[in-house]
Amino acid sequence: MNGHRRLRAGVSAVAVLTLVCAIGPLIRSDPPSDPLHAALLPPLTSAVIVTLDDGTRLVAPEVTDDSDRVVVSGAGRSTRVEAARITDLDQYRFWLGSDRFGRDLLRQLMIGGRISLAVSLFSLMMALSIGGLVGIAAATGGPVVDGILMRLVDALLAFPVLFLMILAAALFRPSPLALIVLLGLTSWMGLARLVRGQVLSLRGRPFIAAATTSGSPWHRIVTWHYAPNLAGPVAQDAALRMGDLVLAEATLSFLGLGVPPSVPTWGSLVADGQRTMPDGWWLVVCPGLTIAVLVIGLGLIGDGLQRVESGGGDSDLEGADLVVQRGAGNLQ
Amino acid sequence: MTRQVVRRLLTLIPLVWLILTLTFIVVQLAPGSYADTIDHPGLSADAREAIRGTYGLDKPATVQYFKWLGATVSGDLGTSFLFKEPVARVISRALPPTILLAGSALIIDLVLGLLIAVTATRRPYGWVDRITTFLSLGVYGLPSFWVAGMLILIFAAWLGWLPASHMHSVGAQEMSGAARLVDLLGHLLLPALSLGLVGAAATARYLRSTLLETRASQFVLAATARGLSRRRILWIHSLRPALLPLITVFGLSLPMLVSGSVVIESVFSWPGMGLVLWRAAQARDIPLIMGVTLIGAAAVIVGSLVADLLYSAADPRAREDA
Repeated sequence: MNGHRRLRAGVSAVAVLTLVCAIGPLIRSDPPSDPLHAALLPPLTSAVIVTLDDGTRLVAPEVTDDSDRVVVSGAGRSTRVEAARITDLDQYRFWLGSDRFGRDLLRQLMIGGRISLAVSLFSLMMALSIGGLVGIAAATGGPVVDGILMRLVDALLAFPVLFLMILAAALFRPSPLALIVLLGLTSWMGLARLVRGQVLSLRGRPFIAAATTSGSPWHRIVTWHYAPNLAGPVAQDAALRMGDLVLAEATLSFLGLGVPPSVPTWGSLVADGQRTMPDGWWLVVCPGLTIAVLVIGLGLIGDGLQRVESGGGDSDLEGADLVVQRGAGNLQ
Repeated sequence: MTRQVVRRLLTLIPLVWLILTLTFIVVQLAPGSYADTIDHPGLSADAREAIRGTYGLDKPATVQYFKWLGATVSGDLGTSFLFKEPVARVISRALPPTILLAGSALIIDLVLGLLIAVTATRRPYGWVDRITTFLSLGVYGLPSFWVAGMLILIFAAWLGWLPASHMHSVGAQEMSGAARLVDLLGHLLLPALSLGLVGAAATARYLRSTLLETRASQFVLAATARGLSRRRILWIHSLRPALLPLITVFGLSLPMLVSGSVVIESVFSWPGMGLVLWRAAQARDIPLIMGVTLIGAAAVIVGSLVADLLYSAADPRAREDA
């Protein structure tokens, strides 16, 4: 695949997932969860929502008539209700099945996706701001500042990041905000290095010197001369880093260190699914594949941006370094 | 050469100190102490205070820090609050399982990645190449804990071929040597695969692109012109430059050999360093947390040093002989 096709595939995957998570829960009404009759329904099961006159709602894949009574059955149980008591019948399809409490997995995935996406996006923004500021400060602040900041970056980079995240997450009470701060604080170092390198190489270029001699103020030079030239490499790095953050968030949530247990995220959904194993394979498979689609989509965006940047290259040779960097990270 | 190594090691000592100090600060900032994590309803507030006193947790953080620093410099890692035995002993018990697991994962990573890349580049852009490229791209986005879950589901729950957790079966002590080894390997396979598969995908992707690159180079053309066999060209001429950057990757993954994977070890209840760190963090066991961190930090540094040395041994261009 060449750069543009990669970019297109990646952007569509990420955009579709984001839109589904953002809009999906608004379009589809929340089905009542019925742990008795609708627990562990396999994907694609079509169920009937039976509303009774006292307001209780039963959800079951099978509803049959038995003279004046209606048999509501599913998940190995059946309940008989008088036909006269039924006020409403509704169809509901569990596209991805249900969990052991009878909750719709697709809906859980969409709600969880909002948290997972928001946490990784906000921590990425935090990493970008810290990394950008440190990088610019190191590149422009003189040799002493540069030396101190870069030694600090080296020290933090040398530290296994997931180790630090797990340690901190185990020590502090989990909350979405704490998670964002934790992920943001542990993933800005690569960006700081990248920005510093880019600024240093840009500083010697003639157009910067031209802007300085023609008397442009520094903020103008930063916004109109540095920023546009930094955007490409930073965007590339940000796409790949966001993939890492999605995986890190999922890992922490999987270990129960992310958000509180009441809030579903993709990682905690996998953990929930593994608790019901060997029943309900879809509860493990679906959230895992969703994470994978998002991470691969982000990876394709990063790869694609790099190829397009380096001249739309059709060759498969570029991007190898990025894979190697990530390979080492994956081992953790 | 020796001077280079010594110089590197000397500059790295402040780095270890910095990492350990940061960890100490993080641990001190965390709410609660070991005394609060003891789950015993009959324990009164006074008793908890007494426990804090016993472990020196009532002293100011700076006093604790310098006490810890002094002991560490003199080689004493202290006693674990949780296990009630020397940290050094807890670590030396957890280290072999982690080295075994991470080492096997690394071997799977390299061997599988190499085999996939070599098979795929035999006919570039052929169907084998397309399928493996697609698969390795797919695997690289998968979280390792998910791969672990799927492997358990398929091989432990459905097929029942392999055990889903722990390092030995119950009653393994009574088994004969060979049976014990088979038992251990059975327990090792799933966690090692969970760790190794994701890495193998990355290795395969990387090796594939470098192999394609070297195929087009002049020295491969020259070797072909000299009438060398395809096999010799591949294994001796093409692979050597392609493997060079992998040295760095594997040097950088050395820390994992000793610090272990918290996720995989806790999924499989593998009694290694990751699980020890996990339990230590939950129990606010400061000496044990610091001990594991020290080993991890030392491994990071030794790993990058070993990678540099191996690299300059393998690639004469990278040597700075002075």
